[in-house]
Amino acid sequence: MYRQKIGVSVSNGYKIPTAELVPILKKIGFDAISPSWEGADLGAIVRAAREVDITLESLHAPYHSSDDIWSPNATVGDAFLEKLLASLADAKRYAISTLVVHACELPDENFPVTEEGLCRFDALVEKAEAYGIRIALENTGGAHLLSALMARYRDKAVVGFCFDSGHEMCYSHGEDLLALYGDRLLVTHLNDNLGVGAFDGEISWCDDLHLLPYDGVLDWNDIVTRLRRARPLACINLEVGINSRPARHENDKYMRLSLEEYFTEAYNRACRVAYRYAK
Amino acid sequence: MYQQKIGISVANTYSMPTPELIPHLKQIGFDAISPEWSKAYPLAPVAEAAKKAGLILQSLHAPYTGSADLWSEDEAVSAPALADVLASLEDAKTYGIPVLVVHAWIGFGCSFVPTEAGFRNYDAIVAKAKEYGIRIALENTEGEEYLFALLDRYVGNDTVGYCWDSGHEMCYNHSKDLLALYGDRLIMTHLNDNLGIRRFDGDTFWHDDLHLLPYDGIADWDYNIARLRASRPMEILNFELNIGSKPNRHENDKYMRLPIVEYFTEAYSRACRVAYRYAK
Repeated sequence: MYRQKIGVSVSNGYKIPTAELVPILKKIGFDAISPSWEGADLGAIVRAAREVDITLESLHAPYHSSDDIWSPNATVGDAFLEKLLASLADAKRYAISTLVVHACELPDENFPVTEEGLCRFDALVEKAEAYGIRIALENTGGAHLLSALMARYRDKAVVGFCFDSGHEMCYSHGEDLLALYGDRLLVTHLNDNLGVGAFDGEISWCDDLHLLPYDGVLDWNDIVTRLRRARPLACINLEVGINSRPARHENDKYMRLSLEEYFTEAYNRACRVAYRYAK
Repeated sequence: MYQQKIGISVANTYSMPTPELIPHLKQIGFDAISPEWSKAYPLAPVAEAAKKAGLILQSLHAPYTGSADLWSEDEAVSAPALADVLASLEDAKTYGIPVLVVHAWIGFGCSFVPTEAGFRNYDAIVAKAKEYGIRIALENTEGEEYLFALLDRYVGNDTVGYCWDSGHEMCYNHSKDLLALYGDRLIMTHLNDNLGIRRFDGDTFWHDDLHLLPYDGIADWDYNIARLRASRPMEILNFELNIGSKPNRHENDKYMRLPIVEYFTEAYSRACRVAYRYAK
């Protein structure tokens, strides 16, 4: 849109191969995509993106079992590091400037910040520096792990923050993470949800709905205000989900739409946010 | 949801029996239900299903088609209406439901003619409720003068409080700020949306009472939430919504096309949007 680029994260489980979706996204109006490394035919996606001249803004590193990187067990921890390094190598191969990395999954506050884990992240960051690729650490659960990493790499220009607006709401009880890390913002994962479902505040990945903006409880005026105070972004990126979580139905309405209609609606909502961000 | 319980009023005539709907409501995320009392639909299966699912029974809606009859000087007219309300109160006691929602009036184009007989009938309801330890929540509808008269009569009586219907306030009460008047006695909410009064001259009619999902009508929810926050705090925010459209209207048709679980999921999402802002 005028004066503001808009991107969307793409996964690999659509009704059509992601590479075939890319020209549709371009036509709808998106300026950029951010593929997910796990299970992707990344070569095909990158070719499709180049054909239609859509920017590859970031690559999402593998994140299933990402707690493993903190394991004192070398076999477990190093295996996960190898996967991260493989995605980093692909980012270099395809000239994708930013790799989004989870600090962990959903551990509680007693989950230890291990020396082994820090060393593995050091190795990742060192390689990213060598490649000239930025690492965007994303907020999930386990705020203390993200905090330890953001503190450790405070002076590393190659390490920044990926702000997931939905995770902030459903995993961090709405704590203002942009106040903490906004000056190092590199990527956004903008999405909506209904907050923490449990009255006692216990968090669950089933609350992480990745609804379109304005379909949940988030205060988008507040989000935009905080984004405008943070490091400016050339591209505002959405990360939204078509499918409902198990035994939930919030996203069912998206599943009934064609992919064109769904992503058009996603683009409309993104414009609503981006227009307020850019003006 | 986190730090705020959410309830939903349930009717008796969905595409599946209400007791079968109840586990779905729990799964969707609701913390409480408020059933509607009816001679045709026994309350026991609903109460049992709620108990089994771990849902709170927040309130029971008393029958209201005889609300005007309660004011009749003719006992032959008022007695059946009173008996129905007392029967619902009896059921509230039987099933441990702490609040009975009662209308003060029903009917359009009528003058305000309060009667001693009417006050006596409401006194009887309130006295029996006090004996049972159940609170009477008087709800705003059309004929607001009757509500005002009753709420004035029971000032200082802890058994009687106020049920705020946000939609009725717009389509029946010309958007008079009823929470400013009775918010300190609030014990129940019927939150819903509509398009206000349709007629330019302000005449009210029940066809305007759409009971849309919040944010599907013209209600200013920031304003409503601010007023709720200034009122007596509610442990459970309750929503009273309709799937079906009013006669010759189509505002709710979009809900009827949805599978019922999806409709209530959307209702819960809208409720969360209100409740999140209420609780924070």
